[in-house]
Amino acid sequence: MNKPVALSTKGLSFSYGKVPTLENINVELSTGKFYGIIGPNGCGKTTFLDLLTGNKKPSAGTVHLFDKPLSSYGKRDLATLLALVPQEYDTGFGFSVEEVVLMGRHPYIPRFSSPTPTDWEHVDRAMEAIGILAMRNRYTSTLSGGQKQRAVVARALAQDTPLLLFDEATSSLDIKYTLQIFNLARDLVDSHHRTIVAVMHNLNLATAYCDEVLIMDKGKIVSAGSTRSTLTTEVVREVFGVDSNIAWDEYNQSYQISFRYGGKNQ
Amino acid sequence: MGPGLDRKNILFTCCLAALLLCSIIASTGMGYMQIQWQDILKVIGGQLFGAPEMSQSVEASIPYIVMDVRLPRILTAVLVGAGLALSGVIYQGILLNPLADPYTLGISSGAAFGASIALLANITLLGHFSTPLFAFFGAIATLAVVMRLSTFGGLISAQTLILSGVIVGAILSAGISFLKYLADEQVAIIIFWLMGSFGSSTWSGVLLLALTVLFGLLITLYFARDLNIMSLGKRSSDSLGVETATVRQTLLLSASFVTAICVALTGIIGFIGLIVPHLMRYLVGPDNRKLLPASALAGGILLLIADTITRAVLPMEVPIGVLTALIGGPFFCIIFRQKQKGRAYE
Repeated sequence: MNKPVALSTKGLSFSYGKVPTLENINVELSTGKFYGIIGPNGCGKTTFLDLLTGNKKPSAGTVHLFDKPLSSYGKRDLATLLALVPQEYDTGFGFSVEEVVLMGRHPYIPRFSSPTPTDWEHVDRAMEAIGILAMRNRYTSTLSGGQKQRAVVARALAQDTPLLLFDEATSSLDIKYTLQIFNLARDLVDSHHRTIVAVMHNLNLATAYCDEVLIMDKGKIVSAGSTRSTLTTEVVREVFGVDSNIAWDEYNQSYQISFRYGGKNQ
Repeated sequence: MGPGLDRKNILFTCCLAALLLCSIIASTGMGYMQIQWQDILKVIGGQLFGAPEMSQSVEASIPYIVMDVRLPRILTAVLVGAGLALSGVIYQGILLNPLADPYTLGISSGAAFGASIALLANITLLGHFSTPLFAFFGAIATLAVVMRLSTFGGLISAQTLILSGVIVGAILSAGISFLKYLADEQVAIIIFWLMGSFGSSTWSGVLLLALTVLFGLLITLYFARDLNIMSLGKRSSDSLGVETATVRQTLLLSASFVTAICVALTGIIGFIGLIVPHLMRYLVGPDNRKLLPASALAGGILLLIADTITRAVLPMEVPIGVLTALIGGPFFCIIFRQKQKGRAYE
């Protein structure tokens, strides 16, 4: 059964000045799926996400969100459909964790109004899911990078959107919290029919969690489809220039990629 | 964010407002001739309610001293303090830089350059308003250049804005030095204006300042919550539904307008826009909805105290810009050091 399309692009291109960053990107992302965007540094992944969120305007092509052009949505309406967890985790001039997470409710709270009990419910639920309820009154200026990043993820969860875009959302997190966030994301897709698009560098996380992957290189999508059929040793060699082996991992119950390392323990 | 904290905040703002009123009355009574606070209230009450009989019992010269000499100057100091502090909150919020203030963008240098030209060329086409008007145009022209320099593809980046401000400010400072060199005998007038003064305050100036500060306060309170979210960075605020580019432009223009009017009427007065937002952020937190009114009130109180010290306490009048820099500079160094220490232990 075909799932309805959440996000699609046609001939999407973007350039900084005369230098093309993205060229002719055509994708269709269905609702209720977990997508991974994979590619080497500087291949245009973040720019692609910025075009999908409307933070950047394409130099050519279009983005459609739920069958309507992205540009036809007002900023606030868009923020109720699409949340972004950015790479950078600025948390302002020392707001408390609770205040930062409450900012996720901004698109729902009219100007000069106070948050409603429903807003607080979303905030509490998001903090609980990420495990930061105990630090709700701490100032973000006193938090570690990882703790800040978790607060930012909670903020995006409080935004309660059908689509969530992660831009290396776990780059500062240890393995425990990385798995916590990916498990949570997978659960949002499976149980709540959300769509997740995650830029990620860890290929094994992609094989374990993503339904489909988009492989990017030099501003283009070089391969896209189900994770198993798309993320192959040939693609890894072609895009990253690295030798690898892909095998079924019984313990993990997913395909895992191992790389040929050149360390002294070899 | 709960109701208890909000009540605490309202109480704090009311206390600041009461303190400001007391400071105004106390300052009006101080000076070469000491005036009792009861007499001051009688004179002001008589004027406010159009009842001259209220001030009949006070000495004949007192109504003149209160209404025509002291109050215009005192209210000018209060309003300029409020305006500069307000602008400081906005610049710091938008540039995401706690060191930003009305001067980081070069606006004050632009105003000073404009005023220096008017003073040097002895332009008196518009009477008293010539110098302030030139200062205002200098400030607005500088803002336009700085914003043009830092806009790429319709977007302004916070870093390039500061850089552009510093570059343009440096060029204008050199320009002012050159004008001083050319000024020869008139150099004293330029230097005195640059140091800031409330000596020639008038009621029409007070009215202009009051309208400007009120406009600034209303527009910034309207966008206060957006400004909170913008402190998370552009990508976050955009994805949270804030029209970041529009809000940034509107607030920058408003803050620069308020700064320009303040500088145009009273010269360069530094550090108020830098220190007051810091102090208030420490007391009421970073939420701009609380920070803006608190900073405006505290800025008014602080500049009034500084002006009262130079007018009525010190044996000779020190230019207000020099006094605020002398008191504010070391104070700022202490805050800066403490902040850095705190960061080092994180």
